[in-house]
Amino acid sequence: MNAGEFDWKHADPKKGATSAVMHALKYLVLPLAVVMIGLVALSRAEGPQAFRTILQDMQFLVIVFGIVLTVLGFFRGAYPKGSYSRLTFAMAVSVLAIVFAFSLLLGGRVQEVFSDEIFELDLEMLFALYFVGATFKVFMQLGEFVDHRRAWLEGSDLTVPRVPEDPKEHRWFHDFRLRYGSLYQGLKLSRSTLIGYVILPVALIIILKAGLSDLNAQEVEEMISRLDGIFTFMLVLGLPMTILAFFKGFYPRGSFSRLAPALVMVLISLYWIWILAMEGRFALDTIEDISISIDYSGILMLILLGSALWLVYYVLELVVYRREWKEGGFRKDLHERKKKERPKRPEDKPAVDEGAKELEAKPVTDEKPSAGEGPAPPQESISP
Amino acid sequence: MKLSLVATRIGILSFKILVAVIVALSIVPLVSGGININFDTNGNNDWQLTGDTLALSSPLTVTNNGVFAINDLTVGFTFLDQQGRVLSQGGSEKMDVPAGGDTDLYITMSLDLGDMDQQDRADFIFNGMETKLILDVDAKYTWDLIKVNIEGGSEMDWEPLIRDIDILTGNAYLSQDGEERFMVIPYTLNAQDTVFNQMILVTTQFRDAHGFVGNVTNTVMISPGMWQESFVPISNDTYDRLMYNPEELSASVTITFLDCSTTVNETWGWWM
Repeated sequence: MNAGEFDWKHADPKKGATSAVMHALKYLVLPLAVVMIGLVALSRAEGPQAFRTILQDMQFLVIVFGIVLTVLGFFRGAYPKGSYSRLTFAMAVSVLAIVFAFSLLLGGRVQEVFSDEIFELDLEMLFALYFVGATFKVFMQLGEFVDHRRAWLEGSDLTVPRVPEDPKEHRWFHDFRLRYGSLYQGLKLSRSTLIGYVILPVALIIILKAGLSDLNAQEVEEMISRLDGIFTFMLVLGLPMTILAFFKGFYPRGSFSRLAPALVMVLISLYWIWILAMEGRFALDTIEDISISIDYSGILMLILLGSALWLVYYVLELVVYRREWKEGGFRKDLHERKKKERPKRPEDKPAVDEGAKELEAKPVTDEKPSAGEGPAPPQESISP
Repeated sequence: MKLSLVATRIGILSFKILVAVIVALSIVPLVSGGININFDTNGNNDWQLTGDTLALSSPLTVTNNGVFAINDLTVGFTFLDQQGRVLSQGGSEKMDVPAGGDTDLYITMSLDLGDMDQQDRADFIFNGMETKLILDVDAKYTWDLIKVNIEGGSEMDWEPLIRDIDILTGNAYLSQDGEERFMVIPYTLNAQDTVFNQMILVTTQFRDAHGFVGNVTNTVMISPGMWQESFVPISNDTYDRLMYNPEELSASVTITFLDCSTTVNETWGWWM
């Protein structure tokens, strides 16, 4: 690691401030507001007063962690993408957020109070689910670093391939080359898919099962066993979806390598909806000789049709972006080109412009930085 | 993002919102009690016997305060006996209930006693029966995209149609009409409103201690609190003997209704 990358001259205080505000909202203001509302509600109503102590302890933790995360968020945002300085602070934020969440369990006290006052809920299991999602966040920081590292070191447009490609030589299966991919985008989409298709549904199932088990009624046993089936189903379909989502996010728009997983994901999601919606039939026959069956397959077909439209969307996306991607020299898709944001070069600004001009004139050569160049001070790695 | 893609996204989103709105508009009235079924509670819904068939015609008022019309609403019924055999089955005509309106639906449940075997029918008439009534309601909603079936079963205890047949031996007496002599045997019975004004066949048999047997068969109309007398012709010898001597007598009354019959026997001491 190059200590010079922590030099304040690389930082942008405005971006840092924006990032700090976002972090403050996420880790300080919002959680604090929830805790405060809980305390106010408890003081006015005859709620379970055991929660009061818990919330007061949480309030202290939220303030401490919130402030620390806000400060770290400032530095994370201030330093440019691809720098060790940003990576360090980003990793610190991601890891500390996990510690923050874990500390909110108050060493099992929250679970105890919850069990005593409401129902038996496995909060550690819920934390484990959160932990999986949060781990992706940690890897996303690494992905961002890898994606932007060369650009920041060279001050170049990172999306331009090192080896100039002749579009005529490019075949559709070449789209699957790893060099077109963005780790950050892949992990980001993978994480959101994991949260949407596995973590949230599984968390909901855990809460539902806990609530239903507390009822201790015979009628709910069948429902609980059905929830177990859905739980398994979520994992069986959710995990392949997560893997496919990585490749969909990883590869750029306009590539077949993005289209293929995107289409498979849509098809799996259709099946996911079909099963989750119990194939359009709901039957309940446990209430005192009364059975109710609802066939809503018509509505379900409409929902599936709406979701299937994404197939059209991704094909259209390929058609629309394909030509642009080819003409652009098969760039990486970091979803940032529209911002016209050039990575801040570690050198003085005129040199960046000069380098950029040269880039426009001729493609970047396929010279990889030598072993000494990577971690060396940025100034040494600049070729122009 | 390209305009065509934005347009597609907006299209997909709009479609999904439309479906979500349809789902919400379908569920809200059901949850908030916007759809009600009211049975007529004015008391005009007693079972009536016509021929062999017991029938109940009852109006249902279906109120639909939902957004969508209810189509093809039918109410069906099935009677099952204790062994689960179908005794009778039927249902109403298909009806539509427009959104924001009421519709009266007439449901006629019928139980054809002629379809039962004779033993079951006899049990039904004279001893009562436990049957199971299954009602099922079918309807389509939200442009027929949602089909609902509600099925409910309940035990139904049928009281005997004709019951409490009793020979009033203490009130039996001798009678003569010109040359004819009779032993008059009074009897009572109770019946359900359902069978009032129906005709029954009553066969009364009289037997004395010396082997005389006489009988008479009458057709009687069922009425509330029935008290009837059977005039059983007897011989002059029997008449004369019973006029002055004690004796052990016996009588039986056999009621026949819808080809089913039941008999009540009594023995009593005459002048003893």
